[in-house]
This record gives sequence, structure tokens and C-alpha cells, in this order.
Amino acid sequence: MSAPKELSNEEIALYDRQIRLWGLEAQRKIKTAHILLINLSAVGTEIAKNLVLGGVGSLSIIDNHDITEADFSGQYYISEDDCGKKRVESAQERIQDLNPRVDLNVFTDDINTKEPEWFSQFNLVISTELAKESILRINNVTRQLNIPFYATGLNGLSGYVFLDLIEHTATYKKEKSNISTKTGKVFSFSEIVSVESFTENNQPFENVTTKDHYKSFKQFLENFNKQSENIKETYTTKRKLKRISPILPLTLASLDFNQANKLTIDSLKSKAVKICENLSIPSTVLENKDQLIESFIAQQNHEFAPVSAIIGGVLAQDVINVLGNKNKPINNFIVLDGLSGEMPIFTI
Amino acid sequence: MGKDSQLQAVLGKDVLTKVRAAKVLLVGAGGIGCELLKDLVLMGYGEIHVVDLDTIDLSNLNRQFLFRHKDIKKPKASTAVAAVETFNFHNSKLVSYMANIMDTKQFPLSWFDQFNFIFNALDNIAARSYVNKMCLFLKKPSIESGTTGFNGQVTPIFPYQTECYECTVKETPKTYPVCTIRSTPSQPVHCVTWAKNYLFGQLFGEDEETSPTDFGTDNQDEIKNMVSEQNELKELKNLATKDDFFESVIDKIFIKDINKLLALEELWKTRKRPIPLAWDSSVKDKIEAITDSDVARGQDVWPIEKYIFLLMRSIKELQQRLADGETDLEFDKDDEVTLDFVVAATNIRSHMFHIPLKSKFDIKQIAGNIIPAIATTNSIISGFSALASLQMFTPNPREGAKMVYTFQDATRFVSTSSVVESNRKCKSCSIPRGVLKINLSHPEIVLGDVVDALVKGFKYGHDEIALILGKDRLIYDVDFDDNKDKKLADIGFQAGEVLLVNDENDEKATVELYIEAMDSGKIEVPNMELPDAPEKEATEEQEDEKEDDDVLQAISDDAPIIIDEEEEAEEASKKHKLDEIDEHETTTSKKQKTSEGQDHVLIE
Ligand SMILES: [Zn+2]
Repeated sequence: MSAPKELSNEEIALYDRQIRLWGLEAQRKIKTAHILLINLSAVGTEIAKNLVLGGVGSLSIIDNHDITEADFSGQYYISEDDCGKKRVESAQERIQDLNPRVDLNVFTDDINTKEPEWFSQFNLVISTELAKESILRINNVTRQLNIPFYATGLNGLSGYVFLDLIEHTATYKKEKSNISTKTGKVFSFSEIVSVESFTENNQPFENVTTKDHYKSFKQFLENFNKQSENIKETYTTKRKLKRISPILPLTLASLDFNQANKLTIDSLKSKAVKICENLSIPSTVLENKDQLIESFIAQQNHEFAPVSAIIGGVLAQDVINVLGNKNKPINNFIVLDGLSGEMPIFTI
Repeated sequence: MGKDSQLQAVLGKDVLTKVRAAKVLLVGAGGIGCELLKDLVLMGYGEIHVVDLDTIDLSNLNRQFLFRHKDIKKPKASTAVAAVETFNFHNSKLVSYMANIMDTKQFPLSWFDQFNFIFNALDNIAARSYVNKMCLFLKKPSIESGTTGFNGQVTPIFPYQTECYECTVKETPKTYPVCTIRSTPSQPVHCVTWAKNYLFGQLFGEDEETSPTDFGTDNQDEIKNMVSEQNELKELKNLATKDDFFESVIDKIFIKDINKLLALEELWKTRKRPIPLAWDSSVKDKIEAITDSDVARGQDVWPIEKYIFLLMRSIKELQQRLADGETDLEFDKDDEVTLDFVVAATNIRSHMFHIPLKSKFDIKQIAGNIIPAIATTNSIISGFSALASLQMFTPNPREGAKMVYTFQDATRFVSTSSVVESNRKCKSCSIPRGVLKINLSHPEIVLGDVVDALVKGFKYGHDEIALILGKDRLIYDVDFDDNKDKKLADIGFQAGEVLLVNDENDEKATVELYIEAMDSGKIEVPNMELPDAPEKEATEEQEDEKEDDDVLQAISDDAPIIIDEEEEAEEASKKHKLDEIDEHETTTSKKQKTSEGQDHVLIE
């Protein structure tokens, strides 16, 4: 990343309410970011909105899709008059209008035709609604470039975010309890590297700096396709494991399917059951869930605005945190179960 | 494939049909409101009414994404509605109102009744409590939401079944003893409070005759000093038109008053002694060299001379306003001149008392009760509110309704739990409610007729009832029947007022009635069975608790608990004036209530 840019008084006034949350330094870092967003899907639209409002330096959106009627559910920056035109071209002006300070670029080519060198102009990549093969390829590139990568997608009432930040250091502020926070490993993937105590308005606080290690998408797929105890590190009791949302194995199973194969209730279910076995998740999680599995399949490739808003909000928030090195990032998979309103995090 | 093919796939035909037919109210078009309106329109809601009193401000634009720079100063409600029309793919009917939701003329109870349910996306406690109450009167479900910074929550409310907005005690703002503010500050916030609520008000605000009743100290010399200091300020105020007013302020506030405090030896036995402002030629020379551009970067902490310069500049500008005929100036965080005055006075005082100086940016936050607010949290919370609304279309909405609040740890991003039963001690949903219809244009109806109708309708078996009209006005009881023969209009009866009926024999429960006008007949008492009053002993205990709650409530309007960001409490704090003055107000409001023996909730 290049050196943080200075903010004008006008920018400070505009971003006032968020600078009060994450500070000027973080806002400057956000302004330095060059982000690539793949696909202006519903969730892509939400992410674009949130990042442009947040004041990122530049946002590039690549999307080769033409507008169809099905897009008129969560993609609120496209125009009804533009049916048949490129989504990203239809939406460009309205997105730019949100915040003229952001350098917005759009591309209408197929992401799969882009060479690894092309990605080197960005310092963070977000893919939305891509199939496994594309995610694997792009994550491979982001790993080579050593830049953070996010993948997200919606499935009707549910949605997911996968994160590969490779290695990430962040600092968060917490109220100090009687016992000082100790440095050292918290989980196999996360450690506290330093703790700094200070007082503010006569209250004791700590600045805790953590370092997290991430898995690539390839490792992630491998980890739930073989016997693994990973989940048990954070889901420490039988009760917690038993309460895991069926949306997790279903989402993982559908993510791992090749686009060519059509999902059926049986194929999805048997794959999900296998994933539960691998991850030591009790099989009861999927018991009597045939109706849910059926609707999960029926909702495949469908976008729903509230889910899009939540997933897009969570992802963009994490991106902003990561750019500013603030707060604890999510490591490495989060799903929203829109039926139960739960949003669990898993480290796989 | 139709435009609603996605919705159909996700919701199913049945639910989608219900959503398309639903008519809902969205109160608030701010941070959450903009996001929620977008979600509801994209979900294909049949008809959405949006109410917001506010106009758009620059600092809204980082998250209230339906607004643009060119929209600044325009009404939020209509601008938001116009913006979502560009993606109103399912042709939802949209209606906007730039109005106060608490305006009973524009929005009588019957108006609220047209909606299937209500989305609350408000930013202040008073309006939330009010909408909550309307929902209680109508037993109408609502979905309450709020955010502050990274945090937020969504709570579906089913009146008289699950926790209402008032069921949980709200956090109260911090208050400080008068003596801490006026003689012995030790934190930046003490100096901000002094500059904003005391000094600015005394020099430029409305003349206030009141003086605190509780100074928070027993030191008689200190109290005497505070009283005389305040009196001298009045004399100083009279000099506000003079050319050398700034020098007079420096001399009195930052030199003489500090010397007087220093003379109170008792105060400095355990504290570091303040140092009066150095006001010699070397300081004056430095100030002489300062220009406007030197005080432009508000995010930095400057040397003290720059704050003296800022004080001088802001005083001159405030003097100009007085010269232009303005009177009773008020502090407003978005009014640069008043903010500069408070920033300068705060830091000069902090400097004298060895308290760390704060930047203008930070002081604005403290003085303006600014709550941080971001797009992402609003997006997430609105999404959960919209999802929660789907529950309303199930056969039994209360079953399965979930509260969601942000709570991030290694295994979850939010905490989700079933809605809980209402709190039996809640001052709002523990009393029954109904609608009292009165033909207000009838020339002959007197209060006695209302009393008779209530006694008969509610089957008290005696006529010893007390009536409290509106906020807290006793209009009738056994020992006070002066109004009995008066016409209703002369007592202040009007549509939209609330009448509290209390059984003085403590047999039946107190009931709250919403007064609605009807065109014919005389009086129609709601057809409802009043439950028994709570047990006597328990009642007394409860009374005590409730009184305390009320006092808390009276000052907690701007509690920075999770409220929809932005307007932050500013409005409420103008009304209430926090900090030391609250000390005084709190005592008064408690007294009023105890003397009337009522536990009626005050609603702004
Ligand atoms: Zn209640």
C-alpha cells in the first residue's frame, strides 16, 4: 500500500460520524485502498455502496453480465430501461454519484480472461457469486500477490462470506478487567502479540494487537473434505456443535459442487452429511431437514434484499476493519441463516 | 420470468402475496430508515408510509445513502421516497410525511390503525416511547431497531405479550455535581459542560432566574462563591455590547474567578491548584500574530494562545449577532461560532486546571452528544429488521419471533434469541388501555358526565375515581370536584389527549384512555373488563420503584443507548440541558410527581 493520503476538511466533515468510530488514521488508510469487486450482483451492489460511502480511494468493478429481469430484486443501481445492457455500465453513474471522491472504474470483460498481472493493481479483491473454479483461480492470484481476498454469495434466505487475509494484524481497544490480557496463542490460527494498557477518562483500557493466520480457499475446501478437528477449537462443547445451523453444511456442500453438476436433494444431502462427518458435527444437525434442503435448492442463485444487505454489510465492514487494521477480523467463514436469524462464524 | 420471480422463489407464492398486500409504516428516514426503505421496496411491500421530521445534513451523507450533496436541507422523508422510486421494481405505493410522529392532529390513533405493523427506525427515546404507546393502544405489532457505531439491535414487539420498548430500563446519561463543574473540574468533560451549559448560557443565552438547589457540596464558602460568581456573570452579560467585552470576559472568567477559587484553601488540600490565565504583553503579542488559517485544522490540539484567539474571534461574532438584533442565543454543535466559543472556553479552562486539552473535533463530540454512525451497521440491522418482518406473515407471528443484537466473538457475529414475555412491572404495558370516544362538539357535555360514564362503564361500584389528563394534570378526584360542571373544552379535553383513570379504592387497575372525537352521541366508554388492582402492599413497593424509574426516565431522553445514531440526543439535550442543571431538574420533577402521587409516564 502507498502512504496514507491526507484528508481535506470537507472530507473530515463528510466522514465525521465514521471517523469518530475508527479514527483519522484508519480513514486515511481507507482512502489509500484500491479494491477490485467482481460482479455487481445484489450483494455486490451492497458492497459497492458501503465501500463508496466509506470513502475508499478507488473501486474497480468487473462484471460481464447483461441485465435480465431476474436482476431487479437486489440490484438497485441498475435501471429498468437498461434491460439487455451491461449491469455495471447501467449502474456506474449512480454508484459514482454516491461519492464523487471515489475513483470508480468499471470493466465489462469476463473475469476468467484476466491474467494474474492485471490483479496486481489492486490491494484487495472481493469476488461475489462466483463458482468454485473461479474462486480457486483468483485466490491463487491473491495469494501470489499477498493481498486480502473475500468470496461471497447468496442463496435466497442464506448467504456466506469466505475470507483469506493470509496473515493479518489488527488492534482493538477493550476495557481492562482485573486480569490483564496476556500475550500468546488464543487458537492455533490466532495469537495476541502485544497488549498496551492506558487510561482514558480515569477508566483503564487496553489496546490488544492480534495476529491471525488464514487458509487459502483450496486449503479450506480440503479441510472439510477430510477428517478435521478444526471446528472444535472454537465450538468447544457438544452442545455448541449440536446447535450448528444446517445452513453451514449445505452452504459448504453447494460451494464445493462443480457448476456442471446439477444439485439434487439427494446429492446435496449426502454431500452435506459427509461434511458433517468430516468436521465432527453431529449428524442430527441435518435430521428432518428435507424441506429445508428442498427450499435451499429452490433458492439457489436467487437474491433476496435483506440477506444481501446483511451479508454485504458484514463483508464491507470487515474490509474497512482490515484496511484500517482495526478490530478482530472474521476468520475464515461466516454464514447467515435467514430463517433463524443466526450468523455463526466458523474457522475451517 | 417475471420481475418478481426471485421473490417468489425465496418467499413462496403465499407469503409474497401477503407482502404485496401489506401496508406498513416506517417511522424514521435516517440511517436505518434509508436502508430499511430500500429493503422493503425491493421485497415488494404493497404500501409503505414514511414519516420523518428532519432535513438532510452533510454529516448524514456517509451512510444515509439515498441522499446526495444537492439534497442538503431538503426533507428526509420525501427525498428518500423519491430516491427509491428509481428502483421501485414492484410498484410499491409510497407515501411520505415531513412531520413529527407525535403530532396527534396529523397522526391520530386511528391513523396508526391502518397499518399491518410498524417499523421503528427512530433516533430518540421520546418518539420511540410514543410510538410504543400507540402500538399498545392498538395492540399492533412493531419492529424496533437501533444502532450506535458497530452495534445495533432489532426487537419485534407484540403488545401485552412480549417485552415492549419501555420494559427494559434505559441507561441514563452521566450527570456531574454542580461544584465539580463550577469550582473543581478534573476531566475535559467537566470543562465542556461548564463552557456549553453554564458559561455560554449565562453570557449569551436566555436570562435564567433559577439557581441550583443542590450544589453537590457542603462547603458553605464554596457555595457562597458559586452564587456570587453567577450574579457577577449577569453584570458581565450587560457589557456584551461593549467593544472591550472580550477583555472583560478574560479578566473576570479566567483571572478573577480563578483567584477567588484559589482563596478557598479547603478546595486545594487534595487537588492541584489552578493557575489563572497568563494575560501579559507576550501572550497578547502571540495572539496578535495568529490568523484564521492557524485555527482551521480542528482535528489537532493547538497551543493555548490559539484557543484564546478563537475565543476572541467567536465572542466578536456573537456580539455581532446581538448587535444584529438576535437574542437568547443557543449552542448548536453545527453552528461553527457557538462551537468555537465552547471549544475555546473549554480548553482555556482545562489549561488552567491542568487538564489535558482536547481537539475541536473531540469537543464537538462531547458537547453535541454525537454518536458515531456507519453505513454497514445500519445496512446489517435494517436487513435483520426486514427479515424479522417476514415472521409477521406466519400464522402465529409471536412464536418464533427473534431479537437480534450485534455481539461478535469467535463463533458468531450476532446474538439471536426468542422475544421474551413483557415485564410485569413495566410502567407502560402493565396497565390496560382503551379508546374513549367523546362527541367533543356536543355543547352540553361536562366533566361530570365523563365521570358518570366511566363509573358505569367500568363498573367500579363507587364513584371515587381520579382523572389525570395529558402528561400529569389532575382534573378530578374525590377531594377535587371543582371541574365537575365545566365543559370539556374548558378543561382541555381534545382528541389525541390521554386520560388516566385511577380507582382511588385500589380495587380495579388504573386504565389509560386515548380520547377520540366522534360526531354523534355523547360518550362511549371502551367495552373492556378492568383487571383487579395489584395487591396493596406490592403496590406501595412498586410505587417506590416506579417513582425512581420515572425520575430516571425524565432525564434519560438522550441516553446514548442504542438509538438510531445521528440526531443523537441533541434535540433532547436542548430541552433538558444535561449535567449540573439536571441535578436541579431531577429534584423538581421528582417533587412534582410525589406531590401528585401519580406514576404517570411523562412523554415529550
Ligand atoms: Zn413494557
